[in-house]
Amino acid sequence: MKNQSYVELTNILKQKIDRLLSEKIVDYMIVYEKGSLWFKTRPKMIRKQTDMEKVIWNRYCQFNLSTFLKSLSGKDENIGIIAKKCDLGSIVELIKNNQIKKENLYILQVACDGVINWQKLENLLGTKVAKAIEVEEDSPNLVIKMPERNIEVLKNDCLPDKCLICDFQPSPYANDFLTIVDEKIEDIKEIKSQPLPNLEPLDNMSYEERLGYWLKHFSRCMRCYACRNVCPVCYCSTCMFDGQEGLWISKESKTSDNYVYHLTRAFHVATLCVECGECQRVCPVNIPLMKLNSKLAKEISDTFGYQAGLLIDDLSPFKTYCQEDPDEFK
Amino acid sequence: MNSNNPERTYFLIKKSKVQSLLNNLYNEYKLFVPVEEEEVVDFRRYEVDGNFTLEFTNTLLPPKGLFLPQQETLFTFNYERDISIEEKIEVSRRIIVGIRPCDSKSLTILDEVFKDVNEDVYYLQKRNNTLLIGLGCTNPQIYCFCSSLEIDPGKDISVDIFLTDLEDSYLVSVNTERGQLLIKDFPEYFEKAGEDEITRALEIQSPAREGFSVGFDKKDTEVFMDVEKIFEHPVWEELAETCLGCGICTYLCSTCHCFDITDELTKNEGRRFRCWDSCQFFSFTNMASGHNPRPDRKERIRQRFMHKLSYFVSRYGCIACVGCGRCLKYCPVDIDITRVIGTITNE
Repeated sequence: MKNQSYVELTNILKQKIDRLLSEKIVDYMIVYEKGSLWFKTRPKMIRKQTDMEKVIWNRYCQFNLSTFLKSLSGKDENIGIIAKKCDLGSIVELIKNNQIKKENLYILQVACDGVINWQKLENLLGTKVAKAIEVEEDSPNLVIKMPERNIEVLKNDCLPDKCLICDFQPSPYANDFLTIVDEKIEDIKEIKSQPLPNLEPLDNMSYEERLGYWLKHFSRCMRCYACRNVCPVCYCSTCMFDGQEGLWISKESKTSDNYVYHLTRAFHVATLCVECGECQRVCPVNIPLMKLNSKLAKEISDTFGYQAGLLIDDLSPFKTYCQEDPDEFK
Repeated sequence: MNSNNPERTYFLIKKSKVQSLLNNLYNEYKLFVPVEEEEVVDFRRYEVDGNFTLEFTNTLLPPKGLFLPQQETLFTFNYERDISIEEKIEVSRRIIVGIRPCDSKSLTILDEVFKDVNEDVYYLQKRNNTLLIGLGCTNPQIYCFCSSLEIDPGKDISVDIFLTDLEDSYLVSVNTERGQLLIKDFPEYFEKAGEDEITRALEIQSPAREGFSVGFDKKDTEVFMDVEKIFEHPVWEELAETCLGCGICTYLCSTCHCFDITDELTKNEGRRFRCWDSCQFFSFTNMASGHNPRPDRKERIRQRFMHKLSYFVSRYGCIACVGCGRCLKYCPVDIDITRVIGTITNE
């Protein structure tokens, strides 16, 4: 999407939100605002129409805003939320698991053809993205404007894995789908079907190699809990790792304890995880958590034919009983 | 911590000789050097001919962990018949190579806390045993704002030895007696620096002081001293709405130093350890009674900023922030201390 398209979408977005607030359809709206640096955005709750100027929509809106819906139970407010196609998945899970009522929610889906993953871009450029001045799209490339020169990279190489398999189509659960008529927007309807390189290296490893791989990564974990707190489906009101009465794991961030933390979390969110990738994105020490989550999602899909985040009425295999479920313990 | 020698001396060391010097120092010191692993640079123990990099912006984790480790056994005890206690104090001589001016400043800030009233022997012993070799910044990151806190990215007299990158060599500025002794022990690596090199280093140092993208006027932080006025400022509510309550900002902060102490017991023995804790966690202030004086994100996020910009200043006379920019870079929701200061001041 061209920068101009984002500007136009932002304008339409502001009009829509203005109406939602003035007609009291929502009490507040969860949106993106400009971050401190030009390539950052930050989540923002808008309650007053005077705050409308802050609303923004661009290719840096990576954050999955639905995580702000998870701690609301008990509050009877109507909430509007901006959602990308991928964010709709976790919203579906939150509705399905009674964390929020669909009737309290106004989902404003915005046309998206992929958000930029800074790490991938930095690896491609071999230089700090912070040095760039601006990014513009020249399909299928991105033009990175640097102080001295422009660098062109293939856009698909800069997208998070989830964007590579996204169809970017309107979700049936969105109350509104915001798009603009533009030839380039039509392009985004083309389904990309690149294979994800995510799992292959680990599946080919021996048990010992895999253990070594994870121990190495978990040894770096400092248990800041950003992966848990950013996760839209990690919605327990009290986490077992925060318990005051008796600790399941030591407060020290030793590799063995970190291991228990990450494996427990992966199992807890299995069948809920929609692979939005937020845990891995916010991890300051680059632990490839999505390898773990995607592996479990694949196991669940292979075993039960279930995929999280698709249908509100499609209950998790862990919460239903079905005679046809495979029983491997016979 | 250091006895500053008023007479500063200058030497040169060729970049090609640094590894060999490290190999020699390895015999006498525990060495910590910046190492890149999984796209993250951090201080790690140096082994002979091991990897290290001095071409980095800054380490992910600040050097505080080398003095206040994320987890540290304070002592072990045994109470089979009589109680015996064995204290675990690090006594080895250590060197940290490549510490940035902001981070060395953070250590002088932490010193205030750990030498206050009750001296913290675990921290201070390590500080006294550790020689710091600083490295000037020629190219601050887009997140940096050390200049807002009057820290000079190109010059640092609080470290024992300070290096300025002169492309194929480093200008070595020796600030302390300890630094002098180290140079004397390894004369084969150092040559006297001429006026030319010293001038060149000054030329390199000065542009480092410009080109900051974020920051604030230090005077603007004075408003934080009026606690009553800003304690119920709407900004705290606003920040709390999006703060995730994770520990990234506190764990990556070079001056955040809160910790928890726990005893771990088995049948007849046990140990007492401390580990980092974060004011952003609910459990940090949760009392045994179940009461929590900082029950919500609002109180917790306010605490972090007030501690840095107000309470610490009242107690020790300086702001507990060095502008290293780590919180700004890694906060998942882009909470930015410079913006918080701006928001409160611009009213």
